[in-house]
Amino acid sequence: MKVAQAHIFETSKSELGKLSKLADLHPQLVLVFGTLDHFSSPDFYNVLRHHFPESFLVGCSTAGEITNDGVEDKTTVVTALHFDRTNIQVASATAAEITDSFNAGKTIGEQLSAPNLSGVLLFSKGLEVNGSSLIDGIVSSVGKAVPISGGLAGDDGAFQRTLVLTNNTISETGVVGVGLYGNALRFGHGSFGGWEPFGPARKVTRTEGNILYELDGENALDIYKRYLGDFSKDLPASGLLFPFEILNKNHEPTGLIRTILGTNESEGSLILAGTVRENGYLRLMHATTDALVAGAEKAAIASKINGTLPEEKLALLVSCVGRKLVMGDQVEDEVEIVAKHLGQNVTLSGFYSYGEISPMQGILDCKLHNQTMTIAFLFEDEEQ
Amino acid sequence: MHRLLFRQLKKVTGLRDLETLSRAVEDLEAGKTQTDADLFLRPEIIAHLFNRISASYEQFERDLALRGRSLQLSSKELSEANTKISKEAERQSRGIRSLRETANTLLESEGKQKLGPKYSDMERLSSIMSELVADRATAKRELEFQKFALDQHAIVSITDADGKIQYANDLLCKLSGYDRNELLGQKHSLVNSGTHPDSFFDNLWTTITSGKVWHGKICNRNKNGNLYWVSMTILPLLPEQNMPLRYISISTDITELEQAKNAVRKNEERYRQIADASSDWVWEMDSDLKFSYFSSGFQRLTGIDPAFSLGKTRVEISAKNELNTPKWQHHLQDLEARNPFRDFRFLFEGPDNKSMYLSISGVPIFDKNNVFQGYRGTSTDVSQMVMAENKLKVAKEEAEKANEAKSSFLSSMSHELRTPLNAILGFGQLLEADNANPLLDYQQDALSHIMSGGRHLLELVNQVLDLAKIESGNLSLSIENVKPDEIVESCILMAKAMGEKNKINISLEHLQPQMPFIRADATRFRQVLLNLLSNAVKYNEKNGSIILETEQIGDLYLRFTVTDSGEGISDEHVDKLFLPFHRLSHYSGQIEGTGIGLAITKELVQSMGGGLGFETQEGVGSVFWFELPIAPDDLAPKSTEKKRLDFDKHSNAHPPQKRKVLYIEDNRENVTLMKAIFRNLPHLELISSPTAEKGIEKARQEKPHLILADINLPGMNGIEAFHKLRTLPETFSIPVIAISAAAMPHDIENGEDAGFSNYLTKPIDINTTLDAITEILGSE
Repeated sequence: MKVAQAHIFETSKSELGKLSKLADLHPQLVLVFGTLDHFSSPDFYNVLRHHFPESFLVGCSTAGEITNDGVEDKTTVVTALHFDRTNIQVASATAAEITDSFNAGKTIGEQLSAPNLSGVLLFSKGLEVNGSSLIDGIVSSVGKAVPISGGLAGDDGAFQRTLVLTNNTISETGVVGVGLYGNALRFGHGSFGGWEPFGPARKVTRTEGNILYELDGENALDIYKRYLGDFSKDLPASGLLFPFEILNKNHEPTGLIRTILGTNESEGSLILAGTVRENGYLRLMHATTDALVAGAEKAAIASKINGTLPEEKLALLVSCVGRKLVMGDQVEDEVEIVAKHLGQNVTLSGFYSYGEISPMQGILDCKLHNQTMTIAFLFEDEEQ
Repeated sequence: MHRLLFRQLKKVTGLRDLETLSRAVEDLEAGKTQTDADLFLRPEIIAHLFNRISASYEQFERDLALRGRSLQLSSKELSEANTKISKEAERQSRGIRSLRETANTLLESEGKQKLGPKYSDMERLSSIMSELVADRATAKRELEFQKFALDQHAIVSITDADGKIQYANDLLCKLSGYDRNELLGQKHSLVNSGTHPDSFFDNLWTTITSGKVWHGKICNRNKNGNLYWVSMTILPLLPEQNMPLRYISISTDITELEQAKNAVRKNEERYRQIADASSDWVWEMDSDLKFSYFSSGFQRLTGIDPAFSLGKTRVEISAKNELNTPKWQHHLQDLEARNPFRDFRFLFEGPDNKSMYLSISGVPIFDKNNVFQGYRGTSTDVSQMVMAENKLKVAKEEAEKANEAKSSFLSSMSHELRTPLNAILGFGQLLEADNANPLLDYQQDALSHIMSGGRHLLELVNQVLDLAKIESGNLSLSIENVKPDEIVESCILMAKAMGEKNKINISLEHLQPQMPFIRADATRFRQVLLNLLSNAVKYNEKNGSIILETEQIGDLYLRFTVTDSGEGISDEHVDKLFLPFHRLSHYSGQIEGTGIGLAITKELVQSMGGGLGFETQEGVGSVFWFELPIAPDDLAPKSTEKKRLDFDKHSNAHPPQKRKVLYIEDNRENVTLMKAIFRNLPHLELISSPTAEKGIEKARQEKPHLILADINLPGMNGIEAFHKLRTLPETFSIPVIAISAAAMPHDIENGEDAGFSNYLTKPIDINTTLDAITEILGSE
């Protein structure tokens, strides 16, 4: 496997010229994560296609871009991948309504499904989508044994509009999956939050999909506003500061976190970045920079594959926009610690998202995560 | 430099690494220009930095505010929860206190140690409570069981101090016949039977009013007026906890026991009376088999003091010469095995040389652990009976001897008569069949008388044998489905020939169009019918008539009736009609016959499952009839056609080369006869030997194709000779036909068992003999 990366700070000709060097790699796959400004510029797709006429072009708009240098805003990171022993297939679908989520996942899964499918990278629109259903849809086609990693698109924390690069176009309703085939591919994964729960466990007394109406029989938005106080006027962005932890019936953490993506004042409801079950339990969480960085460190350790590794490796980092809001300018700390753990010669490529997709820790049971640092560590075994 | 400031400087200056940045800051401090430090002096960078720093401050402020707020909310929620918990705890504490008090009340009532006031372990308390509850439930259940058991077994009542019934259980109601409502409030005098004196009840009341327990049996009277007995215990319940003095009475129904006691008394009396009146006496033996008891009958019936036998075993009082007999040995084994025995008879030797036969029966006695205790039984004096039996036995033995003598006589008579008859009938047959040298008329006539006389004699011998067979139970019948028509016709033809001289008319009348098949031995059926017809001919008058009728009786029997026009039979002869050797006396001189025909006929008919009877009227005639069972389905009968003597048939049957036949026979006439017969068979050569020993030697030399052997030979007999021949290599395969005058059933059986190819009896029928020879030689 060969990896090359370009970091584009503006859509000027000189900046985009950096892409020519990547084309020398003859990449089969090009991952593009960038600010909505770039994604929505009229020529963006054509420029990409111009430079990579033969490659699969996949990516999405973000709430911040990740490279080996750290975290940037308002830029685009383009990563070209040339696989020697792994076949690539790309499938896309549209999910105009939130209720299309499952079918979109299923459609992609059906197109990618094959006996030698060894991993899937998945990128989806970030708003008006049920990430949990989307994953369930893919899993219903490819099965639970295939690791899926990726995330939902972002828009720099504006929660207005996200875009997805689905190989043939850039689309607001798109979902795109990359199938990686063959047994040369190694796929490590890790996902961790670092948030700390506080306050009492609250029972979900009314919910529909990812819309939460009532906690302990009380209006969910009211409870939430009580905690935010003056900051409730900054909702939904300020909602990222207090995500919910999903508890099991014994009030024990499940490892899943739900971010508040939006509110509905008239209904008094909260729109979450994933499903919660009625009669389940939730608990509020908050974070410190140190705890979040420690969480990212855990994710890196989990994703790491030991042994003799080849020269070139890719780490796909998808981290939650909430973490960025909490950490502010210190957010780079989490990228640094990941880079430190994954070692030399690992190209970092990624973005701040509205939802992370990864198998659960220790088991290949893919879930939608929130508020985590999620890492997919990829390389090809060298030919014997 | 603070990590955050480093990041912010990096962002605003674009200087990527810490070293460069640090140098730039040092340059700035040192006032150096024309270095990276110049960046810090650029206003837009400074403004950018200030914005970032301000944003960080705001962020920190926000975090602080939010954290403070969540801390505040959390602590508020915590304090609310705390208040709730302490209220809860207080409630629990109150509950525990109340529980402890309840537990202590229960523990105190059970005499157990109470719990201290500090005892507040909820789990321990609840486990104590549940133990206590379980204990009380168990105790209550126990009590209920006990009361139930008591009520099942006993009659229970409770009265007040005045004796008025306050409680009566079901058994009391059932036994007394009164409803509970009728009993409650009443005194026990309600069931007073009047059989006890007043003093009895005075004593009872004195006992219980003094606080003591009273036991006793009381006879009461139930509502229907019947008496019943109870065994009663009355105890006073002293006043306690607001309860006044009461009396509780517990009793059991012993009516059956009392009745049983009476019955036993009556039975004992009855048995004593029976024993006194009986001709038996009762005895008992201990486990050493020594007599330990005799009923009074022993002395009464034998006149011997029982003391003579007591303490002795039976062996000691029995005749010593009997003890070694198998009967006694077997009996002793029975006793050893503790078997019951019945009617064992032994000779008892009493004092003063008084002896008698006793019959003794006994059964072993075991205790409830199955340990042998001895025997008990009865004995009786059977001396008279034993003597009578002995006499009978002697008489029976004598009778059996006489019968054996008779059988032996019949057997030898049969044998002795057959030997000369063989010559008479054999040569007669040869003369009759000699077509080459025809007899003159008067010779023919004489020959026919010789043959007739010979055949009659043979018939006599055969009938004597039949009778012997019937008497010994050896008559064997071959019962099959027989079509009677042909046999009836042939019998009529024969009877007609017999009656021709006296011109007796014989007619046949069928009372139904077709005769059914019958179940019978065809030969014996012919014999029966012929006997009746020949009797009817013999005892008829000149020009008399005989009618044979056949008639079906229902579905079961076919009846044959022979009616003659003879003189009938007088009453004095009617009774003896079926006795062997009895003949109608006034005819005995004139009419030939054996006198055993009817006796055999009746036996034969009965053996075939039929019946025979007659009616007679002196001067008018007799009617004899017999019935035989009708066959259930029609099957073809065996052909009964008689063969004619035909030498040619036998000559032709043999192949052209000469065959050698050895005849072992000591009687010269018989040898001569056989030679005369063989002269007609040119392909056969007859050689003979007068003894078995010589015959065997001759057979080894000559190797004949067939041996004919007499059985009753001097020295080695025919059967022994046959066995010998079978062991010799030269002769073992030569077929042997026995030709013997021993024609008793057991003789024929022995011969057949020995393995002869055939067993022929004398006098020989030439046809049968030739058939037997041809069957063997022709089959080689």
